Amino acid sequence: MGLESLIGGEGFLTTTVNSIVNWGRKNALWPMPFGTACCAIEMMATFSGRYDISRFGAEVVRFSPRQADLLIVSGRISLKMMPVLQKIYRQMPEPKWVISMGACASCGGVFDTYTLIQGVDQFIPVDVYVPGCPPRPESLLDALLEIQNLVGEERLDSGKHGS
Amino acid sequence: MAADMTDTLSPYDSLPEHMRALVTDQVEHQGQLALHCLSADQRSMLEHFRTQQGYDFLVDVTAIDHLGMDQIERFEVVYVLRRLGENSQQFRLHVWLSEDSPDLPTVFDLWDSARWGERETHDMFGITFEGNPDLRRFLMPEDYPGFPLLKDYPLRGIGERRQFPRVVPRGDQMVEEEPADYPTSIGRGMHTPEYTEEVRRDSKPK
Amino acid sequence: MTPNPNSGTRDTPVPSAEILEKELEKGWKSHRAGVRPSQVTEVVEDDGSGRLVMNFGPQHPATHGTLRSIFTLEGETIVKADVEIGYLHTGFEKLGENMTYQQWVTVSDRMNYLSAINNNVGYSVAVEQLLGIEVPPRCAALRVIMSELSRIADHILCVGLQGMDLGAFSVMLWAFEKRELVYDIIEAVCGARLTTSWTRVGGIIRDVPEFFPDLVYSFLDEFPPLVDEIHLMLLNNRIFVDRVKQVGVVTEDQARSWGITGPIGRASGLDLDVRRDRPYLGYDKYDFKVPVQTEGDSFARYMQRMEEIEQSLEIIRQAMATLPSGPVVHDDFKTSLPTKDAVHNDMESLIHHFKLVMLGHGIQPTAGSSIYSSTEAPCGELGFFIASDGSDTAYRLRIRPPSLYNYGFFPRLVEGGMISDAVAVLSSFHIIAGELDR
Repeated sequence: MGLESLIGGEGFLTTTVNSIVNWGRKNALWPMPFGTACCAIEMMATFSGRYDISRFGAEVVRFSPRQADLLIVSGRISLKMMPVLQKIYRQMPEPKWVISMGACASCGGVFDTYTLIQGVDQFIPVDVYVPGCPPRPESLLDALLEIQNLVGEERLDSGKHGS
Repeated sequence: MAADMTDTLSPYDSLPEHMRALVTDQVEHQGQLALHCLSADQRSMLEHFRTQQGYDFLVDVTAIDHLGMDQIERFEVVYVLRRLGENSQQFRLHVWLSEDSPDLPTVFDLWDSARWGERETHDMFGITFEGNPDLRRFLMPEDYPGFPLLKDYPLRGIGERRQFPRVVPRGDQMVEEEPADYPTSIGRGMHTPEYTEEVRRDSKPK
Repeated sequence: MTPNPNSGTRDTPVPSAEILEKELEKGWKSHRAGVRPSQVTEVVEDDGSGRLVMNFGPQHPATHGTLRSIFTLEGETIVKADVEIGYLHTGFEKLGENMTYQQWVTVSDRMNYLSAINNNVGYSVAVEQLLGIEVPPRCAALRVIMSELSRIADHILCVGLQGMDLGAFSVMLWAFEKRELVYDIIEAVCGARLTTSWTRVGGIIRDVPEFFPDLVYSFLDEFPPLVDEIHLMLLNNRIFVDRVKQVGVVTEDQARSWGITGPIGRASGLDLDVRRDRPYLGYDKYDFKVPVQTEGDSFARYMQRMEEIEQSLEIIRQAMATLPSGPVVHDDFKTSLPTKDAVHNDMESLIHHFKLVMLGHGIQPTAGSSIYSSTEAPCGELGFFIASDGSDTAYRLRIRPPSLYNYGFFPRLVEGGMISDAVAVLSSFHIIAGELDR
């Protein structure tokens, strides 16, 4: 019954540092919602009661970039907003991951106009793209699980996060 | 879809004699009245409607660019005026404005809603409203060189949406480099037949 | 009064595309990573007065959307306020000149994304008025029902966010839970939860499913208890009441002069409702009250929205009781798409469909005609000014956003108050950046 009986005996557990760190990181991602437009509403619906994101450990939504590690870019990014997005991205400490949610953030979406950035991945590195306009909350949860897989497969000595 | 003309006199008929000559045209479509006038008479007409006829609600200020369409002038500034209360009425005043001197006197002292209405018209068309206390750029960045809603301004812009660096973490620094190929998925060759073939090959059941 | 030197048009003529390209080559590379200082913050020096210039947004949990305010503070009191918008500007009006009338409906629901159906209905009513066609009564009644459902969703979200901003987080979660009920109905009818693109010129995409009355009646049973629950939570809460009473007072004259419509205007006593004054879609057949408050503070705006929810429920009940049967698309196929059934089976409908959809044919209003048509969106009066040149795309599509004129008054309103009051006022104003910036 419970973890103690599985471990048993003196209670030692052997694993690698990599696995434990990845397990800790992926099950407690702190999202930073960079919500601008319609996708932000679906993101808020994902954080709410019916499509609960706290089942996956990501319920601590932090609006300060210094305290977050998952940037969810949801909504269309215009010319004026791009420097703000880059500043927020710079302010986040490592390790950090980026979900580009929705069609507008991934590729410009419906709007191929003079003022809309045709995909934020030209200017910041993106890990997971979520298609949809807006994507259903289940799609965002799928993206979160995908990020968790990516985090689980990382190697600490890869130098990816500035180490 | 009720018509806006009630039993009271139409805005044109309530104008005094000397002002009716300033109205160059009257257009009625689907029960809505539009009066046309020239830019020199804009201020006096609007003052008259505000003070003498009680049109106390300015619904909207906007403009139309008739580049190359062989109209009276290039710009047509539209004011949608409404009178609230029992004899409620609504009509539009279209002011023709030439492109050689695209400026008009402001009406923010008559209706406060004109402050931002004129600011946005300036931002989108380049029409200046003399006397408006705040004509900074509004929806576009403040140092933007163009006016988007002009007809000779391309829909996709002139390249300003690519004028950013790419911010990537390299080691323990944040480095700025040239933006990635545009669009990124095409830059990685994801649209070629070879890539599709590879995906198909990899996804076949083993 | 000298014109603003930064306006750029005093000495230079209106620039053409070649001039713009040259400007770009000359080095307009000011978009480096990092927020460019605005005119207000750039020239601030420390003059020893102890005043702080604080930036509030565009990325901030308490700004609903991408709104930026720049406050000059003395202690916690706001001495001078300035706002900057445009962080979500997408060029909807320019798209209106390049997309056909049928295509633009998909763009319209990205404006006020909390109640997309009101935008669809507003735009379609405008184009139908331009063409001079009327939708069948069943279509009008269905549009009314869905608009009112969408209005309820918007208002309950506003109230929820107003609660969350002032600390009552549970109210927001309850509001989102009940909003999901509305989403279920919208998804069953339109196919999508948020960006519906439900209306077409002359009608709607298809008739509602057979279980639509069951959905709506079960919603009408489940939803009203929430209104009482929220009142119970918030009205007895001394903190909420103290933070919103007498905060952000908008008088009726100010509302009239600044063009403030919608719940904010009505909370100040300005008795304007497009549904009652200029009825469209058969709103004059339904018997509903237009609530008006007199105080004009944030508390009045909260009560106004709750009362409007009650009235919307009343309209839905009446519309469901009198829902007529019949076609849902206007029968003139020169302007309205025929149903899919007819398109697949009837040659003439196929030809009409082809002509309406292919570029170059499409819907062609009279050249030179223009119309200003307004509907009542949850934020206020949503207006469309459409000027046509006889082709299948609009020549000028102007959107009169309610949030723009509502937000114009905001800087003056918060001057002299405290920052926490500014948060309370902003959340009670319910400015939607998608509609503000278009």
